[in-house]
Amino acid sequence: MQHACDNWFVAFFEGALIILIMVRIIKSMRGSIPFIRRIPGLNAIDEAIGRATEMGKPILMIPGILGLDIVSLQALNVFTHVTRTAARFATPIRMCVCDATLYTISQEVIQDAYQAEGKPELYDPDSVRFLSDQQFAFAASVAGLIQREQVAATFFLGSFFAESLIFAEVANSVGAIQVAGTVMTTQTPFFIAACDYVIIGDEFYAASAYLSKEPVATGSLVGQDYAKLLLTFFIVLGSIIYTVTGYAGGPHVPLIHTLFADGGWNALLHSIRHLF
Amino acid sequence: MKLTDRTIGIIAVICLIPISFGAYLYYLRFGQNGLNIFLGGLVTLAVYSTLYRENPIYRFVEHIYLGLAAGYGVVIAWSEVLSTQWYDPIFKQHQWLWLWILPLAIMAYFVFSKKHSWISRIPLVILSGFAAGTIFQGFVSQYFPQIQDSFKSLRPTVYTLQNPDPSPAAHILSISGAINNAIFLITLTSVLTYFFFSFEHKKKAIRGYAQVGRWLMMIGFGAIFGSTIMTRFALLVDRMYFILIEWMHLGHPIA
Repeated sequence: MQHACDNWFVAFFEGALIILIMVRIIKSMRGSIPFIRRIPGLNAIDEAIGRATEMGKPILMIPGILGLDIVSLQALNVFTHVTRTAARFATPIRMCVCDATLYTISQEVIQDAYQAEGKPELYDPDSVRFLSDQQFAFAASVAGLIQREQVAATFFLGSFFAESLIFAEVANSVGAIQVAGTVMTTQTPFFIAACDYVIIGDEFYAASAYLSKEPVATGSLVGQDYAKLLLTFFIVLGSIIYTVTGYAGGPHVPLIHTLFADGGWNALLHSIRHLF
Repeated sequence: MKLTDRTIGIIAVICLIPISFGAYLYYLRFGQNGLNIFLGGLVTLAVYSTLYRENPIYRFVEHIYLGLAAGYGVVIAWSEVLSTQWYDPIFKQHQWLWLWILPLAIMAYFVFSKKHSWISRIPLVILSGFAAGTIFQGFVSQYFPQIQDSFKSLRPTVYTLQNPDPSPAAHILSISGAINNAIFLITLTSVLTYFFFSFEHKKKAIRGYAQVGRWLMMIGFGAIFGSTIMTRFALLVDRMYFILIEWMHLGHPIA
């Protein structure tokens, strides 16, 4: 674990990234809503809800199999949109969670979504279910539920692992239209293979911000774009320095390499003192 | 002909008689371990029965699995968490400060009270705060070494296609190594371009470069898919070995 006192450059750099993001969030909160590019996968969300409404079958939502974290909270943002749209057409929903803490939050979020649409009577407490906190027991139970209830649309958004293909294949076998998105690089290929629409990597956060229109989420997304731009600048700069100096490893490490390692700040100060 | 749930259920009940007899024979011949293997084989087949369609046998095993997982979770919660990290430090090592967790845990149970359910949000907020702090610290440990490793030289140190000394201590960059680095940088920057959301990809150059990123990602996903499928096949082979060799004794076990 790297600590701030090991490398003050890294601490300041992270501070700069935080400031960038915070500035954008504050601007957003003051009413300057930033532009966010629409992701193709988002159109699929309404399409999937429409299909379930036409068939009169339930929509299944799973916010990953990890506990309360940023990814699952972003998934809940998207599910709020799904639930609100489903509530408008009185389409039944099912939400399966794998974590007790997330279960409590999910219940409140789904109930709030129904209330926000002015249809609190449609909220069914049994629609949000805690099945198991063990990975494959959860997977077996979800697979059974998909087949028993013959769900028409599925939304797998969050952190998934080896069970991703079990969910996607079983839902595919009952002919459900599937929208999936995960930040787990190793599971994205399985969703691409078995689902109709896939939200890849960071698109997941963008989808959540786009649908929720929350100033914090949208501002944070734009701030992160700036952060990515800054990091890209450093990577390109570092590579140019490596190419010019012809560095391919060895003891005489360029300063930019040292900056991102333990003692990086000391190395910078040492170089500045050496110059004068 | 599609079998109904009732037919499958009746078949399962009828099968219980030879299954019980088989289990008894296994127990007589192989002892407790044999009985475990016999039950393991049956459960495996019951789970595979869902490949035909969802049926009462699968449902029965699914619920047993859920029940076992719940029981296992309780045991693990006590033996791995509560006992070792809470009960023992307080009551055996007399570190009384750990008692402060108790009111927080009790607060979580207020979720069942309609009037005081707001109290249950306090531990959630504290947990979220802890999670946010850990993520800040984890960000540096996880991403900064990656940034450092992303600095790549595009100038070969030797003008040969292959590296004459591939040991890391030699610090040699051949032409193929430089090409490899160039592919890495193009992939990294193009994928990053694809993931910019705060502006429309209208300009032809940006749109084209983002498309390159998308294609390169898909190639990467294909490679991940292939290698993971290989692993899954290894798991299938292992299960088939269990069914055919250990359960049905259709061959000799591998020594």
